[in-house]
Amino acid sequence: MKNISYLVISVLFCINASASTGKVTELHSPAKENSSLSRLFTSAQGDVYLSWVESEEGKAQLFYSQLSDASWTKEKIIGSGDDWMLHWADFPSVLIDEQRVMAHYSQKSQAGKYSFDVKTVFSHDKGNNFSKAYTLNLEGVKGENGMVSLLPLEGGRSFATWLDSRTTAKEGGTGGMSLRGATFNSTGDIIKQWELDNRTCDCCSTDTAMTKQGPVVVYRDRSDTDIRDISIVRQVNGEWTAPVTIHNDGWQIKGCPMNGPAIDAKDNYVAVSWLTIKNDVPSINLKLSKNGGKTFGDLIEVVNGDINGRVDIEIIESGAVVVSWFASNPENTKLMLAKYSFSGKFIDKLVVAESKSLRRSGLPSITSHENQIYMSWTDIDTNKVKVAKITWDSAPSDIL
Amino acid sequence: MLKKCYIVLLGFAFASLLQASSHKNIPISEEKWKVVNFWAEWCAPCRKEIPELNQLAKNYSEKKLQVLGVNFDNLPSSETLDIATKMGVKFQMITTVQAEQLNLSYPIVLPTTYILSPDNKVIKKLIGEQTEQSLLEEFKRLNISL
Repeated sequence: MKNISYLVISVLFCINASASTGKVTELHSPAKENSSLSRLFTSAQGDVYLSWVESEEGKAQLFYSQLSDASWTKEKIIGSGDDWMLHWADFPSVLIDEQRVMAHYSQKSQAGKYSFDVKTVFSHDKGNNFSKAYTLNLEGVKGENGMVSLLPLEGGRSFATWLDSRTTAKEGGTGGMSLRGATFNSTGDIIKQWELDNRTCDCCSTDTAMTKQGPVVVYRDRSDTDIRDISIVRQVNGEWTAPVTIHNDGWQIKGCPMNGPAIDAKDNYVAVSWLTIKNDVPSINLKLSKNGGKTFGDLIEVVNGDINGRVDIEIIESGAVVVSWFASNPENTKLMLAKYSFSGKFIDKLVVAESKSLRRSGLPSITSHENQIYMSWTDIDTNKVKVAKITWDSAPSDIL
Repeated sequence: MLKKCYIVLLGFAFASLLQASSHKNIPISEEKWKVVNFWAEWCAPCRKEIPELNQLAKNYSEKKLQVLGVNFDNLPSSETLDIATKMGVKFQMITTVQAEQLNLSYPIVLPTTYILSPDNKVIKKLIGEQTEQSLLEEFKRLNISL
């Protein structure tokens, strides 16, 4: 076991023997043992945060910490429970905007059944005190609700999007999930909510980003014939557009793809990445938009073949786009990054970590500060969340 | 002396294998065709498949077929067995390590079901929800009589 840890660490520092100009530096992690389910995010103020879950003897605790220079502030606890639903693709998230903290977690709603509610909590003193928990989905309807993505809005408001089971439950558990969105005021009350799509994939995460025109949401859609391609909905002038397929992959599957799309936006520059499978060959795709996600450019295939997907994406300050994913074959699993210019030109590719057990490490997360990328994942061998910083020697050439 | 040690070690390994992996404490057959199903509790189509796979296991376990399940989340064996029991799984569970020993590639999507020959060669990979009928038809298409 130790050997594998050494392998990961040595890989962190030595793998860039190829032509990559990227440098990977492992940072001290604020998460303790038995930690997992981490997310990284950067606030509007440019501060980098990490959230994670520590679990022991059936009890889960949700923490967050802020990156300060090369170290982390003392962690703050958001909440805990022995009835949380924790799953590698559907787990708590935290959003911080100056003094305001909003977090979500899923709580089991029916003993012995696979049903859970999405709970949200709010703080106005940067996590020292939290509100009571609000239920995001329709209360009283037992089902699988989750895959939540959060976004801060102006004026202390927030936006959340999630997969909701209210129609699934009505159909006796055989129908599809719906995609919903809601805005909250600063005290956590729902101002307005919408059904954004009435039939989506059940088991793929959603993602959201803010464009100049308003929030956009990406998710894995589900047609009547179980085509599960990626769709986007956009809020324009306060109204939501109808779903638009980002690319006609035509992936038909009567099952769980377990791979949601990832989106990032800066002004009206939008980047979306996702996994699809054609003729049993998986690939990771990238599409770029310069008009807030209204239309996208040509398809860019980032990689195909031995991959597991589980993508994340960031547009860094220079305008370059960074995509992360798992590459996996029977012998090994690698945590990968690729960098593209916003015109779609490949810039760099590198390995962040490598070990056989990485395959079981859940969903890696990336965020950016200026032109640096931060990445977090669970190291299965040490049972602990790890964080690395990725920097590039040369200044990226493509400016927004 | 050395021979005795080997026998003790082999016995221990075999007992551990069964304890850790089997829902019904039956070893992986080397004489039967196998249906190996990767599943997870949170996967709705996986949950729908369970009664079908139970039925297949019940109807063909005395014949030339063994139905095996692998928990995708790679939970500890005791947790996997608890969940399997709660979900009404009646066929045998194996660990992801055993699945790797059968040369099964870890699936990207769920449910994924493999058909293996008696000597553990992958004959077919099936993606998505299966029924007893669909699996029997697959064996028929492959000219395999059970």
